[in-house]
Amino acid sequence: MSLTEKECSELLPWYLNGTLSPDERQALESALDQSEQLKQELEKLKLLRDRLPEQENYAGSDLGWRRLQKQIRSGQAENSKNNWKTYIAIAAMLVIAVQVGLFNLMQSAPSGDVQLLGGRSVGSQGSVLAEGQLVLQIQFGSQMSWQDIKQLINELNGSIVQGPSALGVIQVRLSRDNLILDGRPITQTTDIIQWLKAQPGVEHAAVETAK
Amino acid sequence: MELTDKELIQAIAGQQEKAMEQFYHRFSSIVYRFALRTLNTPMDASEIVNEVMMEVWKKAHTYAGQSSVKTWLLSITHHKSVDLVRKNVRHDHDDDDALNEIADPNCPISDFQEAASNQKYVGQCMDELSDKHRQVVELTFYEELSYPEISDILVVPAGTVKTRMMHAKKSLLACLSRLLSREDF
Repeated sequence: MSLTEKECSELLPWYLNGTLSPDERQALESALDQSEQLKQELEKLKLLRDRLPEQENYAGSDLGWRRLQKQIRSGQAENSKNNWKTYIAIAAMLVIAVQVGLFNLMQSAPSGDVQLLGGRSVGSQGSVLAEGQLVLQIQFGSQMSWQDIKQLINELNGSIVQGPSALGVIQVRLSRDNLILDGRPITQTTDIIQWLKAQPGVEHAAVETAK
Repeated sequence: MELTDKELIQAIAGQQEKAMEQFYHRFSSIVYRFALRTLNTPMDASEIVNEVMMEVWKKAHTYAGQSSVKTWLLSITHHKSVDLVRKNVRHDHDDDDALNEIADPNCPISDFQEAASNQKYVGQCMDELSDKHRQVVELTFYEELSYPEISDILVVPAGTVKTRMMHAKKSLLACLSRLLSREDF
């Protein structure tokens, strides 16, 4: 590698700080051996470098770190808060989805009537329960998806009468006739309740009314 | 145990606050000094230290390891400082302006030694340099960076780095000659 005198002069500062490539360094050293002017320039640069004022350290280092630390921690808290917002938004969407789904199920349910113990009509058509029919209150856990709820109600061969309430309670109407759960016929209301309570995600099950 | 610069960056990428603290104390002065030379006000330079370190905390995972950590850090510092300068609408000299207008003092080495031996003179002449020229001198002699590294940091061609250094050298020599001649009177 050969360098012109101008190139050598340009590279001198980095020769001094020891960061030239081996080729550049070698070429420059050869040039220095042959040029008195270049040697003088190098001497001047050395003097300059050695007389450069001392650099001050950042006086605000400790305070600066504490400020940054606070920002880092508040940023993490903010992220965590944003994650919660996301979870809440997802939960809200799920609730809406469940309610919309339940509404659709109610719409598609076979028309019929439900009668409460007091004799009031709760059915969509406002008439009384038929023989063998009952209305159950079922409370589902928040982890239950709409698909899970729908599947369970289908297994009961039931239909939604009302709900879900603010507490997540759904009223389901079903018939004991021809009801088969886990492969065996069920005729007793207590057996239905017992089966429901054994299902994952069901937090509460009780008879609203029966006939 | 003292971690290397690159190990620290890896730990910071894993959001380890202790590593960030160590990194901050290792590099805040370098960032501060470099920013101060561009911005000239300690308050702005402190602000840049904070911004740069926050960027390191958030983007340590983007460090590719191709350059040294110091080069990467000073590159961020440069960008942020320049942004702030632009906001403050400050103007600096062009790279090659008046390069040839500065007389090369070409003074004898003995006279130069006399002038340069006075540290106050050297400091005064450094202060007279434009920001761009002083930056290159400082990155070369204080931070001991190569010209390709300086080129990366300042996002200018290597040739521009060399030109700025030549300009800085001439200016410093001219300044020292002037101060020396004043002494003679």
